[in-house]
Amino acid sequence: MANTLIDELKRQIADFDHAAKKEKIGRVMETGDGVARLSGLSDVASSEIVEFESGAVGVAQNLEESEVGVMILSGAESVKEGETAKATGRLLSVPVSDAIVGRVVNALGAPLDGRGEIAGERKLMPMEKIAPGVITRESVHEPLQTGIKAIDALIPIGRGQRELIIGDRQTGKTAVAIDTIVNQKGQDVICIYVAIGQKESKVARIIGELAKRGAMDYTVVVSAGASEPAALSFLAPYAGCAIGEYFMEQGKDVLVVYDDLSKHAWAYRQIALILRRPPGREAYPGDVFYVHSRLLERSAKMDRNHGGGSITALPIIETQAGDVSAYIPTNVISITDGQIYLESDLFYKGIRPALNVGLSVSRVGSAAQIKAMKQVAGTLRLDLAQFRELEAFAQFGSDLDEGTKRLIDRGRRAVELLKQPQYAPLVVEEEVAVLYALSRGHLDAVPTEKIREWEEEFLSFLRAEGGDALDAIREKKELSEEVEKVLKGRVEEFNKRFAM
Amino acid sequence: MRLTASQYAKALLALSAGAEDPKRVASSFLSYARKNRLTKKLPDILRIFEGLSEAKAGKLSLSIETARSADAAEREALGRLAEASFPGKKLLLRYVVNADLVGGVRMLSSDEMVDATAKRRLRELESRIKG
Repeated sequence: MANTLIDELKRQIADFDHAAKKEKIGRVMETGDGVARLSGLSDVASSEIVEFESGAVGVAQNLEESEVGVMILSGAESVKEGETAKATGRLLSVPVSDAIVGRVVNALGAPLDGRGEIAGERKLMPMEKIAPGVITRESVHEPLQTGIKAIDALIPIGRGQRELIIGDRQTGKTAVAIDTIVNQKGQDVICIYVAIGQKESKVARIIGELAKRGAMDYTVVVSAGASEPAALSFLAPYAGCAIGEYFMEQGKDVLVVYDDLSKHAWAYRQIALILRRPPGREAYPGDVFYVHSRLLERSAKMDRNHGGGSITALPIIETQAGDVSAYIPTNVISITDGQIYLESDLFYKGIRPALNVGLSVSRVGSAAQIKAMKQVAGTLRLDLAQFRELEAFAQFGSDLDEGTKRLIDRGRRAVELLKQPQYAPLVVEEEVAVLYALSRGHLDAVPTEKIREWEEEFLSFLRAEGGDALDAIREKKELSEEVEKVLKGRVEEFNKRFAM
Repeated sequence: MRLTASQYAKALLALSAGAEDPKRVASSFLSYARKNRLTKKLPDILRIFEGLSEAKAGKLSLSIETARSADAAEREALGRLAEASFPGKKLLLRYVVNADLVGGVRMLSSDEMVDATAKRRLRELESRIKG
């Protein structure tokens, strides 16, 4: 082993081309706040990597008549005025190999989890890339199950879709994303969680939960924490997307969570203001829309001729006081294929996930649902909408007609049934079974306050004794007459036991 | 309208071309700069102006850095090397000792560099071995 290493070193030294070449250089005129202004470097390209004499590395961002604005990625504290810098001829890229799965890396692909270098032959994936064209894509048709009943039934997500998760702070946005990742176990989906400007303690907790549930076996975490330079927060989503593209090119399905793009926009604003780009609305630079649109457009479902892989994006946006009409939220809403809107009021009422079904939408819709789910969830949205309208009249219980009372009761049961604890995603056949019981009126005799208990015991019953019903749904993916007969039998059998 | 340092430097170059009294041009320009609050931009303006003047006169300021002090013969050899590396220019050479370079020589103009230092070779060899 030692001889092989020595021979290899000797060969590399012998092959080493050390001839001096004339290179274009720049000189640092000013540096501070993670940005350096250089004179010279007349032929540097935009987004080209620049290396400083001190070893610091940056990216050329502002190309002006007589100076270049460079965003420093590492070693900012070592950059001094007057030192030289040279363009490397390389664009920013992240090294990726299959062994990156299960690892925690920073925005430049360097490992952060203390487990050594990432093994395998690494491919350099460009951080910035033109999104797949129209011809290379196919329409989204394959479900990405989140395991959350309310979402899979009412706001279904497909592989290749961009579904925004939006809401105020502490409404469960990250919880929805993490539950989705946990539910991808055994689904042949590579998950990438991009933490942008998050507290290190929060990221550590998330990694711990994912590891505890075996999710780190198929997940990559890209972290640019709150204590990292804004440049890394700005690049982290692009790095996550580049890692996703590596797997998509192999024909695999990828889920990327960007948590969150509000902090990403803040980081970009900070860098742009220090680079003295003209501020626009809310002091964001004029191209803040393009920063997000070019990122999210790289999520796609590729057709068979181009591998058939997909990247599904779950960007997260934090609103202030529920204002979805603010600048960044409206930008991202217009880019994505739907939004999951989480409300503080619902959260504090105990409705968790705190989904506002009225304001949430999936533009892909039932194309991303199996037929069985369509059959049981079809009327659920209407039932809930009617319930919301009639809820105000609930206080006049004794004065309402039977039909209205029935709608209100059904709505209350639906709201109760759609509640779900964190880290408890359900497989789609269990979701279908539970929603079948609701939609066919099998829960009408169960008191509203006992719905959660009913569900817990029903699922235990199905897992222990009702496997035939679950198997039938899993295999057929629709509620045919035969499957429905089996399922109905199980529901009635359980209801008798529950009533006793 | 805000002008860039480069535009001011070009204007100063045009003014100074064929000027009979360079001192008067300089003091007028400084007075203008003070009046229009350009004092912060002055270092940039002068740096660009110096580069433009030299380029116009076919000159080039070159800093030759070595890890240790060079004797007369070595300086002559370095001068010839500089002329070969930057042909067609009248070179204004400045010799600097920079022990940080470890060995070899580095020639720096305002926007070009020839780096034949041991430090660069060692760094490139390190990155090549690391992969």
